[in-house]
Amino acid sequence: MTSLETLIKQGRKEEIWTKYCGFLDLSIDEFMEIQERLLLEQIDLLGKSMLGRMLMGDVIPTSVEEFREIVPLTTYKDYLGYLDVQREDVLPRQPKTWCHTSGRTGEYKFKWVPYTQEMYDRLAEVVVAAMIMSSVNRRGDINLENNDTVLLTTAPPPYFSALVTRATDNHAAVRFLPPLDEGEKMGYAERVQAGFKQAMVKGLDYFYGISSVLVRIGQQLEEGGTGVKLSKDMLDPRFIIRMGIGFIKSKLQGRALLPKDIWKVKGIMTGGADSSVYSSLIKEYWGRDPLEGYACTEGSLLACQAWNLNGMTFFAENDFLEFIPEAELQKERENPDYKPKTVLYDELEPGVYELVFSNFHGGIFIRYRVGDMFEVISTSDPEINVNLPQVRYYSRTSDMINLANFAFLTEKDIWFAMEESGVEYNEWIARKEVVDNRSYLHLFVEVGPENDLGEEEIRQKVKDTLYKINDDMKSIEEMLNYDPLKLNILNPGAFQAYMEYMRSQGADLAHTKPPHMNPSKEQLGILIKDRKFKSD
Amino acid sequence: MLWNISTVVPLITFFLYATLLVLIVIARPQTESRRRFRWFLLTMTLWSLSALLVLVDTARATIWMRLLSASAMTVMVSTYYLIETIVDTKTILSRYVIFYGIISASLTLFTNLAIPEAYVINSEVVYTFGILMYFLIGPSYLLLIYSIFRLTKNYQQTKDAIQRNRLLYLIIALSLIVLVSPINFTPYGRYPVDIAVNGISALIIAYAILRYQLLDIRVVIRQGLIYSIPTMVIGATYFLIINLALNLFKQFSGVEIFLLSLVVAILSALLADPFRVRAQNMIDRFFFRDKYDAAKMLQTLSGNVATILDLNEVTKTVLAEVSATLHIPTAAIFLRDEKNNRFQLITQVGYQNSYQLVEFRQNHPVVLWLSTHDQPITSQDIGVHPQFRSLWRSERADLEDLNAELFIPIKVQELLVGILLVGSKQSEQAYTMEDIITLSAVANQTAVAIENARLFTSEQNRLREMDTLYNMARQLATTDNLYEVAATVAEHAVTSTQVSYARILTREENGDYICRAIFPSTLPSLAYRIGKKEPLVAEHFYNWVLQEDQAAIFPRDDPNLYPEESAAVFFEDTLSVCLSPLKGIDEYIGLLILGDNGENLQDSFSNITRRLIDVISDYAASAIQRALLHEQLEENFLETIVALANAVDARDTYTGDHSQRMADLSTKIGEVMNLESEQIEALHWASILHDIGKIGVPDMILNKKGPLSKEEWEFMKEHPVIGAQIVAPIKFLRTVSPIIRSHHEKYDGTGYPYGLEGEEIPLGARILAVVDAYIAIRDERIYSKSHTHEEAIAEIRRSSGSHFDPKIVDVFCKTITG
Repeated sequence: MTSLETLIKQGRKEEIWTKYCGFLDLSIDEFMEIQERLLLEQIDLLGKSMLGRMLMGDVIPTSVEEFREIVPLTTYKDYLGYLDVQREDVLPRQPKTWCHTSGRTGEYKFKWVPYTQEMYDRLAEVVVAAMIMSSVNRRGDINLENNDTVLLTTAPPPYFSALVTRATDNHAAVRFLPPLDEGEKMGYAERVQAGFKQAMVKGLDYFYGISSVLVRIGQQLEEGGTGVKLSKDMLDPRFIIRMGIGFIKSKLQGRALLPKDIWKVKGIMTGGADSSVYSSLIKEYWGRDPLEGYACTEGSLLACQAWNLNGMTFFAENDFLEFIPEAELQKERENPDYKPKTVLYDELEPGVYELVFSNFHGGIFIRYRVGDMFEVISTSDPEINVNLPQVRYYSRTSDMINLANFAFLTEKDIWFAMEESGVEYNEWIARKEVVDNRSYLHLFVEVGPENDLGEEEIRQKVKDTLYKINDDMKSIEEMLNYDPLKLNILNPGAFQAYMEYMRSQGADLAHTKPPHMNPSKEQLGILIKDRKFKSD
Repeated sequence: MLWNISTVVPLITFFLYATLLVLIVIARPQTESRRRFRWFLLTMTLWSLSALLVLVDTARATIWMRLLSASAMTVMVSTYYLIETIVDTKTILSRYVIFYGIISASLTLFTNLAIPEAYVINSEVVYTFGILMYFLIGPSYLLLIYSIFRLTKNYQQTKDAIQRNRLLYLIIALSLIVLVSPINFTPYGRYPVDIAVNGISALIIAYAILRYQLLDIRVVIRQGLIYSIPTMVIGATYFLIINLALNLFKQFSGVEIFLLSLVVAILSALLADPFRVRAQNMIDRFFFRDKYDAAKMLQTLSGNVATILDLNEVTKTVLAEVSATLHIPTAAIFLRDEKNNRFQLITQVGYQNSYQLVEFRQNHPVVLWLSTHDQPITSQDIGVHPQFRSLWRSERADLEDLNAELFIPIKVQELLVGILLVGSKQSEQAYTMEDIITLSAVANQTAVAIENARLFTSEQNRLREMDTLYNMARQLATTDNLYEVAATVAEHAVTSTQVSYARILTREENGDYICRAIFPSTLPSLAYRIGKKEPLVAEHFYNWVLQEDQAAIFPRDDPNLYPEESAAVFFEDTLSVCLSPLKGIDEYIGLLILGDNGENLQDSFSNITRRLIDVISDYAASAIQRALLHEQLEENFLETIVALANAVDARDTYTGDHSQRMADLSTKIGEVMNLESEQIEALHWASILHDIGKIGVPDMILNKKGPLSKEEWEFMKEHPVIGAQIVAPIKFLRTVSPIIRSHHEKYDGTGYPYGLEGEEIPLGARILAVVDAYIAIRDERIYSKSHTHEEAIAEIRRSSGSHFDPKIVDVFCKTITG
């Protein structure tokens, strides 16, 4: 098999496009054929492994239908005792490496995930697909070149993002800035700074990672700092020329120096709920719209946008895809014993779904609920002639609050913080709010009769406790330079009034209280009726 | 400035290079090869510019000449680096070539060691080379020759047809430069031949580098030669004739010359076309020798395979020809197995025997692709197209082991029936488009041959099926016996469908299922079940199949079967069963069960087999229903006869259990004499029914206390014949009838009704005679009192040899002990 490097060298654009981006040309039947075949191979592998048999039950399914009928849906809890201690003897295939989740505060410190050689190889191929599409404006075009530079902004091993970088480094002849061996030894901030320093000399072609980092760099430059300390590299003619041209460009346009003046970035790839929030800022600072993808440690890179940056398309060969429709989720919410039914990729209609996937290529996750929801925006994209369902990331299924992809807060976290803060309170609710492209945790608290603290004092106390129990929350302020907590005190008896109002409206007993996490605007409206906030 | 050929050529070449240079600078993306090509163009631009300036700016001819030479050297250096990128290998030389380039160019440009002086006289450049020139320019040529060598080597190594074509363009372009450059060292150096040729070379190189899909260089050259050779030859001939005529006949006037020219022109025109055709054929033969051989091969194949009806022979012939003609060491043909739709290896060359295990499933991505595309696929396609992402790891490993370069579909009417697979050529060269067309043609011919063979085989199978059904129908027509019918059906079902075993079950009125036949009957775990009731647990399952009203197939591990049901239905190493309902007129009468140990359901029970099973089931149902009715009829008849026999017994003076005692004693004697079970059973029924003929004898004769009159006796002697006639229509009593008829015959021939003697009397009748006499003597009758056992034995012994068979008497006397 000819390597990507050689294909690029020989200018075999058509082959490169077909190999990496050809999945967009699959018909839905071809897509499902790939899904079915690889699932049957996977079932065979799982049937031969201890953990696979344990999760699938006594009867080994022989078809897709049986698989969906017999095998129960799983969560990470079902794998505890095996994956958390990295037991390889129970897995379908010998893993090449293990990695774990990053940055999420959940029930486990880390979720360890095994990756086989095939999964690793596939990961690299889909990352390259995303790189190619992030840097072109039309079908069949290839702007990816050997020796292109990629800013290293990912976490070190064994985080999944490091695996993405390693796999890409093995597969494509790109140069990471700083080089992986050096960068992985550095701390995050140091690595990013070293990368930008080198990019000043060597140029910057691609970036993938967290949107907020790109925005922050843009802001820093706009505010007049490069974040790069004086060094002998600044004497490099390439540095001088690059900065000189950038400076002239910015001056000609009568504004501050921006990254797009210094670099002509070919492609930017981001992921997560905040990607769309920051995309306009990224475009403003970097001169290029980011391409959004969806990846998770347990399932690899599962979907990405095409070059027109509309909906994301799922890859057919990484995981077997199932989706739980919202109506089924509602049934489950009403009756926790209810087993929600799934639909397949070819059965998707516009609407909101929870993703369920099963790894291919000897992975271990079976009918796994990763907890992410997608909105199907259409069943095809006629603009670019793609006949596969188009989705966009919707939210986490659980009641987590995701702040700028840095911090994930659970109901338990906030409750704990309220308790530990020493504030005398009756009840609270929490909402995520986005103001000026910044994500905030907005708490509404009904204080108790003995409370003698003011709003700001309470906010400070809750913030201090939250920062103690959730480092990531703290890093938002450090990295992104803003305070992510807002807090308002509700009128006394606000929750009682809410309940009475709901009762008067004939609401079911279960619905007379607002949910703690992310109540709807309507629910909040009832709760804060007649309340005037300082910020109003 | 004088505009002439010497200045126009470099001027055009300069603009050519400059334009290319601008284009390549602004073109995106800037790949490494394009960057190096930029340098190459820059040096070429300098070269042509200096060639122009030498002639234009004559005052500084020496300077421009030096620039010209320095540019020539840097062109060689930039060419070296350009080629290095294309062949993608670096050598240790690469580090130093740049230094050589800088030094040699500097020495040429800034000293008079290479070119001491140059000037222009009458638009001709006059120059002299210094001694250093040869030392400076020599390595440049060596670099260029080395680059051509590297390109050639890379051309031989690469299997990518597009890349090979590209390399060929570059080899030709560089060779032109190498060939033309020495002109500068000859008196013709004053003409810009090298500049012109370099211009052409640059265009070729630009075309090769900037375009991905290039025209096949062989086609380009061939077309060039086809047009140029005949034109040159015809033109030269025309010129020679005219020239000769003018020289020979100097007195020719203008008109005569015109006429001569016209004649020669017409002749040339007439001869041109045949000559052009011949020339074209010669060129084609030269360029496309392989194509010619392939055409010959196709011709040979079409003659051979059309007449072969054996699939193995067809495929072997095809592979042998392909392998020999195209020099392919490994090739194989996979054909679709109609039983399971898998593509299995039929014939191969160059592979080891272990490859027999390799097969392509019906949903193998290669099979799916070839089913929907008419063009062959390459191993490169498999690595590129997303449809092949669904390959399993084991399938990838198989494909890697097979190491095939091309997969060519063999199709019959759009249906993929096989795959022709070829490995690398012996020459390690890539398959050209002509090769692929040839192999596709071979595949098409193979498809026709396969279809012929398949139709022939299919017809043979159909005849075999018809033969089976015909034989079965004939055998079924000869018997009404239920067990014989069932056995016949079971045997034919197994032989025609090639399964492991067959069973026939009938459903009784009470819902029980009775096993009526098993074939082969030697199966130890099954034989004992004949005539037995099936396990209760299976009844529900059987009833379900009957309700479904169609044959049902189950694998052994079918999750819908309870283990008890599975144990009742599957025997020994059976892996799948087919249960086919036997439907008579308006009712289900049972099941035909076929078991097989094939791993795949489709292997054992293909559509064709199922169709055959349906036909056999219909035949079987009809025959079994007939046999069941017949059995019922016989049972009814027998019941009637037994009732009659009982009525006779009641009329007679016998004791009530006379017939039963006779049956007991006669069967006992039969057992002692080691008679066959059928003979003993006949004795039993003969004992029960021996006097049934007395039904026609009036009571007054039968119960008469005194001696019978002669007429009465004659009437009485008819009863054995009447009895035999009564039981004769019942098939299973057909051996009983002669015994009844003869049970009053005597050993010495004095008995009735026919006076048979000795061995003429059936054995059963002889036994019955002794037993009947013994019981008659022992019983008390109207006309005589009962006697003791000893008296009865004595009487029988006394009649031994006269009334009774002495051998039977001996056995009887030893056996019966009172």
